[in-house]
Amino acid sequence: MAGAEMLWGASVHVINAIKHLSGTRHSGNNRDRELIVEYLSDQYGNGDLPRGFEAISLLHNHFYTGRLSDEELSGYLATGIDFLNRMLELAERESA
Amino acid sequence: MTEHALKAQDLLDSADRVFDAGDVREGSRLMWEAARTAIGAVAAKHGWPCESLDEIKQVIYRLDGIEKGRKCTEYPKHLAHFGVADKFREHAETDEWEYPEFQWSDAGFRMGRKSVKEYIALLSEYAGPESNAR
Repeated sequence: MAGAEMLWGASVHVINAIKHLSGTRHSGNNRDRELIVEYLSDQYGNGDLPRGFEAISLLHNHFYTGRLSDEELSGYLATGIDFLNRMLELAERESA
Repeated sequence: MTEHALKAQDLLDSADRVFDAGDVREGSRLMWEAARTAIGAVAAKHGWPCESLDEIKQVIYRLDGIEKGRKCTEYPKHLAHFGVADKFREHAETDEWEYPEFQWSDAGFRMGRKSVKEYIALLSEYAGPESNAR
């Protein structure tokens, strides 16, 4: 459960970094993060990003509610790790 | 197009109209219903039960199992798609959010609608008569 929350935290930092690279201030709320993920998904034609973002949101929710089954937790962790790796790649591209 | 696929498409069209009219809750219900119908079509083809939420999740796990056997995937795509569809169910059924930060903003809804449409298109490959899914 703690690992899932760390994955959420790491993803949030990458999203915020990408927003920072774009030169706009970030408020740190989820509304802003959804806008960034939508922008990146459209910009790079990557439909996996919204689903990855939802996966890390579910993991974050799980930290508070413990609602995910073991099978869901395992699946969303794999999706979240994929999302984080994709976002790290995009952060590098955005900073180039 | 199968009967289920037509019904799912009708539900998606209705959801678009309802979202455009500003009714997020009813639009969410229709999006969830569209996804549930499309998942149900695949389940019916295999003879899998698919009425309760738990049964629907079992169908999702089975589909990810099939996908794993067909090609190398980095993550369970059906579960990832389902997570988005299920969020529509939550938006349709929740009166008061314990943690309001988990409610979607407009961007969340836009991404969610796109994702469910993509998922229904993906599921049609499993539900069609030419499907190789076993």
